[in-house]
Amino acid sequence: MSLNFSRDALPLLLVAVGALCLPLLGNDYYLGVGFTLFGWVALAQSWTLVSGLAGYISLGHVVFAGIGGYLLVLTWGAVPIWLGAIVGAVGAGLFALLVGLPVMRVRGPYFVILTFGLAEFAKYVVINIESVLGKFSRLLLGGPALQDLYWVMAALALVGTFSVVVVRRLRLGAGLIAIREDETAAGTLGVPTMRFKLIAFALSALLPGLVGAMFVLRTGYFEPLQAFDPIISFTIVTMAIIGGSEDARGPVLGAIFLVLLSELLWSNFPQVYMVILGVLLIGFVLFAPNGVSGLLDRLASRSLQRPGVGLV
Amino acid sequence: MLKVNRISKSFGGIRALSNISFKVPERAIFGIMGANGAGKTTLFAVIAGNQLPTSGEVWLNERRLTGLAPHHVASAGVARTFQIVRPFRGLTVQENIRIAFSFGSGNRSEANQLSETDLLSFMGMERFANYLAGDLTLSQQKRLEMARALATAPQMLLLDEVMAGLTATEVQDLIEMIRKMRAELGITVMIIEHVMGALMTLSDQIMVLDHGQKIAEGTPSSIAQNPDVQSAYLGVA
Repeated sequence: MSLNFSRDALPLLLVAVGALCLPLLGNDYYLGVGFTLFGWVALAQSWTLVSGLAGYISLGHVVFAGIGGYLLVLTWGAVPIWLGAIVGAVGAGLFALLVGLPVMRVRGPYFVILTFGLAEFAKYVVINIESVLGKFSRLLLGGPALQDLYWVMAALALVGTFSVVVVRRLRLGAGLIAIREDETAAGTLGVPTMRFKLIAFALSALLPGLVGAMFVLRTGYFEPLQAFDPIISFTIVTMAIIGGSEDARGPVLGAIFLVLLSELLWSNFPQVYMVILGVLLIGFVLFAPNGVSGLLDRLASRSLQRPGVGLV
Repeated sequence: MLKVNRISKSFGGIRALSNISFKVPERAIFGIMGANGAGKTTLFAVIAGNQLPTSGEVWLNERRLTGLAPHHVASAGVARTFQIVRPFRGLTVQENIRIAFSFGSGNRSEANQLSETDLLSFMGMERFANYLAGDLTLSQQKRLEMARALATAPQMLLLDEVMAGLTATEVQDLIEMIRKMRAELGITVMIIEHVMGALMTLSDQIMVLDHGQKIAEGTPSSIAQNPDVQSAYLGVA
């Protein structure tokens, strides 16, 4: 198995080296930023499995994080925290399988809208359950320290990055890319399209379930409007547009770019943050549709023969 | 080998195919002709599992294909090309073929042991191996469409107007290539074609469709002389 440096080794290295270096700065601020950054990396990599490879753009990926967070809260005190987080991930994966069966039958803009609507639907279901239970937001006291959460999140980012690198090399990855390029042709050539789409959707829900649980542990409370905030879904897509979603580089580059940008802008120009973000997005869509990683490829090859997707 | 039994297909009120039955023997080249809208492509879609027939059945040897998903039909050994080409545009020619290889029918016969490179040279596409499929010309894309179908190692290949828009020399090349597919790879071919000369020289048997009905079936020479075909297809009174 040969690693392509730029496509595979670079993102893995970036995450690993970044995870080891940030704590050296010896400041909780950097640990907090790192925690957020790695959370986004894990979310965006998971999203890439289904939306980047198979081309089914999910605009509701926050739902899996929300479910993960909520299941952690529900099991809080009853089971160990790590088990609660795993329950969250498994729950998110099962939810993906369940809704994937009908949802994965529609394509293009219909799928985009359906995933968005589904996430909103889940949000209001949880809000209603909570209000029936008489809970409006839940405090979780005695969660793990930031430092522990940081390492878990860094590990999740690494696992997410690794999963994209690996899946791209499997038959599954080739099949998903074929589905993205032309689903009818893929089926006719023998790709089990429905099964592959479901597997990808379920896989792409597992890590977000864990990330959602980590987010809840970090803030120390659970509030459905925040845990299922659609802005999280939008941010994932934004990162993929800015970074590229063809391979494992995109989510890493996109997450780094966006987190740095928001740290800089948010502290200095909070009023224009969203405006600048919007302009950037339009710019990338128009001039660099394959994101930062697409730009890197173009710089690297400079030839007219374009590289394809680099199937192994 | 392939047995199509009383296939009908309706789209709303339109009967695209009504009660079509025929058999294609092993290693035959079976031609299908008919005007636009006669139901030829629908017939391929039904055989390949892209569309469910309203009634009727398709059998390949002892296996019932009707009701199987396209990828199961593919693994049963039936490959098709699309009249409106469907290359994986963002992938190179080689990557297109690799995908067909790694999925496909999964049962390579002794005759069909072509490797990826063999296949590219068989189709005369070595030069384009690293081109993006989307950058190829239409006639190259049609070739890729065939190469990809062949890469699934089919027993049976359905070719949908692969010659349309090609020059006379290209048509001649393609005729030779299709003959080679049968002779060297032992593949049974069903072919829809508007290029009449090609269809006449290639086919052992020809079936003629008109408005979803089968109006004739026979050897090329008998078809050419059939008065029903002449009136329906060639417009001779």
